[in-house]
Amino acid sequence: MSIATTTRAARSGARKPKPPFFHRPPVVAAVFLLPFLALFVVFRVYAVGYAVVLSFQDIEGIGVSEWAGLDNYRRLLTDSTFLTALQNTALYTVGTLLILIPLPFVLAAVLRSKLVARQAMFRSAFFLPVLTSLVVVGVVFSLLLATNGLLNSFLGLFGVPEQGWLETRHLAVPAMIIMATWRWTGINIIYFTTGLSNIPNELYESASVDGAGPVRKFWHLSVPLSKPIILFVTVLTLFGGFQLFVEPLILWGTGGGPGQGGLSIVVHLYRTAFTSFQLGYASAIGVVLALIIMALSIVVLKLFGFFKKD
Amino acid sequence: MNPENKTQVDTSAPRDVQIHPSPPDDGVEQRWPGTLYPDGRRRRFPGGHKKVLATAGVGVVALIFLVPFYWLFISALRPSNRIFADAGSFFPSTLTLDNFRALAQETPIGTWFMNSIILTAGSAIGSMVVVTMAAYALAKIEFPFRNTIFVSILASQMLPFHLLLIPLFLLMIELSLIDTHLGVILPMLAHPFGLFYMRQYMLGLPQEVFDAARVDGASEYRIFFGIVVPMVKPALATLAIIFSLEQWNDLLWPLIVMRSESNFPLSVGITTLVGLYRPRWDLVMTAAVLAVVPIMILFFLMRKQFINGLGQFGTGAK
Repeated sequence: MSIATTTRAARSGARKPKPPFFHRPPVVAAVFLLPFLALFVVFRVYAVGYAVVLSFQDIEGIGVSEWAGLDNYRRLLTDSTFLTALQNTALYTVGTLLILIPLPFVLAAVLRSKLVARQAMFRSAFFLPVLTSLVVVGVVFSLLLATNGLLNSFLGLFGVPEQGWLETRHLAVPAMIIMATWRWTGINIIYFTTGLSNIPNELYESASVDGAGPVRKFWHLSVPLSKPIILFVTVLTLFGGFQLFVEPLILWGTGGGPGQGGLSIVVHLYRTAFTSFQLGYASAIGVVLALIIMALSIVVLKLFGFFKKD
Repeated sequence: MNPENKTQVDTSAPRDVQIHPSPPDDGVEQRWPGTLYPDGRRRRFPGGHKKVLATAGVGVVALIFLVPFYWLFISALRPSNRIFADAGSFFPSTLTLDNFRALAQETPIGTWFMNSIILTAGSAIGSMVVVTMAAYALAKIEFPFRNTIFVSILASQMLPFHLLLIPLFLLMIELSLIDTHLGVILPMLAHPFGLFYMRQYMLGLPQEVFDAARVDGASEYRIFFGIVVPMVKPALATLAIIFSLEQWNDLLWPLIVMRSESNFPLSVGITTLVGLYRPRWDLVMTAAVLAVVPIMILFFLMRKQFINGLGQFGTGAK
């Protein structure tokens, strides 16, 4: 349909002519929405439903499947490998929450203050890791954290004995937390900076008038008034933590690391699906992962009082 | 109506967001300019000891954050048998470009690089088109179930991608899209948060412009291409950065879809090099350098857009 003719028709026509079919608002909306909605329905809605269905099936090869009821879920509860993966992933997530909220928050506050020169330069330095592919992060840190690596030679300067960061069961999660600290601090600094810049300046001025020092202003103004952004970063960190995959894959392949100490839920899912081809069981792991993430998000939102009326 | 004039009106209307406007006094003592302080004493350093100390402190932390980059580049330049052996010595004894030569000879690195570019460009451009069109319908056209549709799309962002991994894999087999670029790109195009961001941006556009255009008899299609697209250019730039970064750095989905070596993007190629029985550190480190350098160049060319874009995109801030 030519645009020129319809425009002319609209000008010369009756006062309120019924627009041609393709120009009625619901039709126009449908045309604009169609590409997105079609992709969304096929690759998200349908896929989610499919995942749930698969999780109740026992699949032997592509196209050969059998209804398995709750078997896959029952198996999950007794699968000690899954429970190890769950424990590692939870530990990793807690570790990242404990570091990736306070550290970037303090850095954001300090970087915004007039105490630090060259703020833009520093902000870029912290931001560069955010742009780095997790594959590259894994590759670089497998050198940095090697037993003869840089971290150990640095710690050696202070008399700390060599640690097998990537070869010791209980150090696998701390090693990944070190990587996460490097990779995500910068983006959280940016989020917290956005949050801090939304706090009205007058509040700080009147606090100064009342004689509040810098530390008090930080604890009694910056921290409480950043609650929404802290909530947001908490949920994001939780999401990211439970989806841990690339770092352990690069460090230890699908093996799970020393004594399975580096096995994450998603690595377990991946190897169940794509090395032992138990697609039904792997789908059940995916469903449980989604439920865990949603449940934890709701708990966090509740803790922050997100659902309260005021 | 005269679309040319109308488009001129307001391309800059949605405020360019400032993430770091002039810093307020947020908890840290202000200094008056000059050396004379309100208490009448003179200080030797105009900036004050505190400023020197704080800057040095932050500087040390920033330097620590740069060490892994130094390590990436220096390792790629060490002789291949020293990369792992000297992983603990900060200053290399010899530097060489041999590893890059080995990379070019022993791996299809050029093909991997091209694949990364094709996937990145394809999914960035595709998502931008799809997301912008849908955002316009959801922001500016009245139709039934508009909010229901929008909220359902947004809610799906709560689901981890890994839940979809297996059904999408089976779907790709059925559609014969395994080992194709389209198979990597298609499932990523309908980006819920991208839609959210673009819709928010469009809601901020002045309604009068649209009303005027409609009174003038412009069709919605003409409004979209003539007015909306030019007005949302800053938001499109943000989406281009976000989508490109995501695709360039993505590993999991291309790892599953791409089967033949000639179809690997860089991320998958590097992963296979790491997964060898004895990792070839010379090839791994040089390929990693090639994966990082293009993004860094773009970052230094458009530092502001990167930092503001990722900040706004994440927080939905304006």
